[in-house]
Amino acid sequence: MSFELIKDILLATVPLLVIFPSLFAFTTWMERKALARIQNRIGPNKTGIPCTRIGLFGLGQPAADGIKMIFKEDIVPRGADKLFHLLAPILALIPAMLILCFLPLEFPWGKFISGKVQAFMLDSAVIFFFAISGLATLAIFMAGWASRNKYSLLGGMRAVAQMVSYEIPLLLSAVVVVMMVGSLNAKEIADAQTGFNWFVFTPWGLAAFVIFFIAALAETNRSPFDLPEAESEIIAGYFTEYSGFKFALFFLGEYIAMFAISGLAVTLFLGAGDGPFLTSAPWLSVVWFIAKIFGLIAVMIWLRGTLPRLRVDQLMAFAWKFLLPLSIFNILLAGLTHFALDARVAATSDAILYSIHAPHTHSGEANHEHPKPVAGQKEAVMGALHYTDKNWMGAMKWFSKAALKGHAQSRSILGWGFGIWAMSLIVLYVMAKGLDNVSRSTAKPREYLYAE
Amino acid sequence: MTQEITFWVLAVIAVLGALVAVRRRNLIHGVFALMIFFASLSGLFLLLLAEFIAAVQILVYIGAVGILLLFAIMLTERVTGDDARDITSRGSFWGWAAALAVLVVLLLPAIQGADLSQVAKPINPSVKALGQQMMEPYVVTLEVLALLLTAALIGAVAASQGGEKTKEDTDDA
Amino acid sequence: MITAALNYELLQQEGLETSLLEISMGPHHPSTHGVFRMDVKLDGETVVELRPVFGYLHRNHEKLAENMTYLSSMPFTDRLDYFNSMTNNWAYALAAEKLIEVEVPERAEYLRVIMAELTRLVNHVTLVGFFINDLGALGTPLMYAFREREKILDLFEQASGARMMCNYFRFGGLRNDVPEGWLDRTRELVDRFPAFLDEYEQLLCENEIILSRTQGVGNLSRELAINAGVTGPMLRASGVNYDLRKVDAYGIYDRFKFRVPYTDGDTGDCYDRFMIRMLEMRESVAILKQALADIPEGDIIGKVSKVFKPKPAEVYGRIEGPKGELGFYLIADGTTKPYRYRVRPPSLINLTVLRDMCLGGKIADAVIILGSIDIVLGEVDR
Repeated sequence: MSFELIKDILLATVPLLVIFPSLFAFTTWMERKALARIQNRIGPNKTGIPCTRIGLFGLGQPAADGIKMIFKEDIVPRGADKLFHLLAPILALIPAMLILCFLPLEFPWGKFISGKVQAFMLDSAVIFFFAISGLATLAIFMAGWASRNKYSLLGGMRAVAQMVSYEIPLLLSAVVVVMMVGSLNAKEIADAQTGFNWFVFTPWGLAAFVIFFIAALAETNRSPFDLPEAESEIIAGYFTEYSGFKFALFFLGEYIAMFAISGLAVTLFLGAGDGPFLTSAPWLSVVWFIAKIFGLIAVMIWLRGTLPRLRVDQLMAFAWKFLLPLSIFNILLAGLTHFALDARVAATSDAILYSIHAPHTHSGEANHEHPKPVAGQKEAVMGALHYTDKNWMGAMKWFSKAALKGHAQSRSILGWGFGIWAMSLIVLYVMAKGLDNVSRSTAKPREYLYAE
Repeated sequence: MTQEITFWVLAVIAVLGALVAVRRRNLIHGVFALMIFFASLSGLFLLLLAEFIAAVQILVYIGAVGILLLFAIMLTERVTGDDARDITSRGSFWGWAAALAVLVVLLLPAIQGADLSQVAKPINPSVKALGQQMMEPYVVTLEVLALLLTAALIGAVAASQGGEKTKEDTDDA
Repeated sequence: MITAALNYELLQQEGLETSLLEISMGPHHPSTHGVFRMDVKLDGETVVELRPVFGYLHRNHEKLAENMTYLSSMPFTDRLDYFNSMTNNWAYALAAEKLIEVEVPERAEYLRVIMAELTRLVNHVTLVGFFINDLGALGTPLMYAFREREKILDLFEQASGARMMCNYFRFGGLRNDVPEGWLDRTRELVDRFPAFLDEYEQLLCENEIILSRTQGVGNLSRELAINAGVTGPMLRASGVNYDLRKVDAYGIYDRFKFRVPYTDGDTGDCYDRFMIRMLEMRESVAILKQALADIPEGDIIGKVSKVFKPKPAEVYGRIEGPKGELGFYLIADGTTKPYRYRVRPPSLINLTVLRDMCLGGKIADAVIILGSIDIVLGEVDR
């Protein structure tokens, strides 16, 4: 093995192994603090610099927690399967760390990697992501089973049922993006969204994003889908019998999985590292990426502080009767509208392009008069060029400029585009509402009697 | 060199996993050993640059088949695994015989020194090529398979619904 | 309701080898509200058998009281239902006051009502918080509820010196008068309380998840509720209009205008029990407002000696506690100590229907059903 290879491997993996666990520490602090504020508390505020009275808003809390976890006694129940009990937290962490590799994070030091390490460039990164993140289910079942505790077992069973069910809408909502881009490569998906062409701005992308996020909550066992670790019912679920560092590993694995799945949501729908000021400072793309991840995680924390938990049957019904049909319908709609839109708009934009190319192609004919440019022609051509580049946002900008100047074809393009988008939004809304009416329980507030 | 080492490591893990899966009395241990086997198989696919197949191997065999096995075990009373009842090994002879026969059949071309290039044309393992293959020459096969699976799914739902109906009937009675 | 059990038997008949998962929930469990235990048999997630086990907090309360003078067991009643020491005191005082003829001064009567209704607020607020906590909302509603509870406990502390173990009532009145300015502070609190209730109702009562989790869960029919002797908000949630404040009109409850919320008895599920308590809090606020407006100046306790020898008699004093009918049954034999001292604990008697409500539900339902019954183990086990 050459020095080059080792350097590449280190450069590719060590940042992931350092950045995300430190972000985990910060997230635990953020979660504690945010939950505390939601609940009228202050949260950690004393654990700052040791041996001083400087609190630093409790920023030292994660470190203190970590130290505590390491020094706690590691308890293995007598009847437990010792090997599996040990392996489960490790197995929970590995897939979570592994799928981080598939995120199209562009670190500034990436240019020092000579290209022998190809982990980021996997052609089927999205499929790999789902395949490997599914392994976390096994770890959870392993933990639940190996603990020889009935609460753990119940938690494990719940986890398996829940994660298997929610994987389907998760995958199906990602399919929409894969369809639009025509690639499973995370990098290509990210590139397709540069210049604020985020898929979340399209109707089907928005629907898919919402479905994806809900399913991601269930995949990472976050409230309101935290049944596998439902405290009020089954103590701590599958990690009831874990203490000390093994528990910390589970905790770490869970948060890394949250990062990973939020990262995938960011990649698929929120434009990956896309954001402002990228031309002057390309390194900002990592910052935008992580900031978006934190945005999603903040929503997760907010939900945790707000919502009660679903029951098992309601959870399953929600996945199978609402999310699954809606995501399948969304794929159908995305295909229809995308290609309907594309056929119509592409023809018009080709016509625009043709109108300027035509004189040049027929320049041999002597008598041909140069056509007088229509008002807004230049902008329309820019729009058409952006359109062929699949840069919808740029195309929209230029077409609107052209339309403002009275360019008829641009107007028709914009009309068609917005018409189809509005239509598909309405159709999606109606569909969601209908499914909701079919699958929701009949629960509603009641009136009560009073005796004087 | 690196590839060869990786291949041998994966191959040894695969064989060991398969052996443990067959030999363990404990069902859950067996399932997990089987999954190790699947995982190393997926690694072997990766080594052959068939990354899509590798991903599908994990997705289908570990994510679906393995979990299905776990589900099946969860439905039995041996879910806690403390049942030490012996699994009788009657008929192991026939098992060995069948395994040997399969091995021989697989090795037959190598023994005969047959020229395999006629059979196995080199294919483009990329996802795009695979997708195009599926959508163009094999689209009918794909659709028929999809239809079959959908029918199976609906059939399963109908079967479980039917079971519920009889339960309601008994309730009414 | 027994569908699950039938289903299980059906499976057995078909010769499929399935086994029930037997879980001992408690005595150390996050949501058994103390050291209560449920032996649950599960078919998957469905509860097919449930056996409540209690007695882990047995403290010999009744026997202790039979070996000391009447007044000395007053502090022990605080520990029965340790959320509601004031109402426990009152029920005991009511029973003992029937043994010794004593006039309770007007101001004491008013203060008793004020304390009892504040206690009801404390209890219901806590219950609702814990109930939503059992539903899985991690602490947030509970902390909101505790914020209000703390304000009331501050008032208790100012009046009696203790936040929870108040020991404030005496036979014939109260131990001491409330300090200066206490009534104004209470008025302020009572004026602000409806705002909290509005907030709570807005946040919780129409929450989709809460509605679907609680409605149709743990149905308690009117017949079963009456037959089992269930009382309090739970009985009213099952459609019986029965409130001892109206029926007995003990103390001076006949002077106040308030309404008793109850249901039409169609469901009697967890949502009804939750909502009845929410609505009762508004009525308590109405009572408090009237009492605080009308309270006169004057003595706080009638003339009673600390140790007395009542004539041999049997008395039963009962009040509408926040959890139900809290009764004290005393047999006096002419000595300074009761011959028999018996508590009718609403928590325990309401708990008897737990199994009937839980069977056929999911394990998550069992937890919230227990939460909606509103038990305090100090009172269940005594």
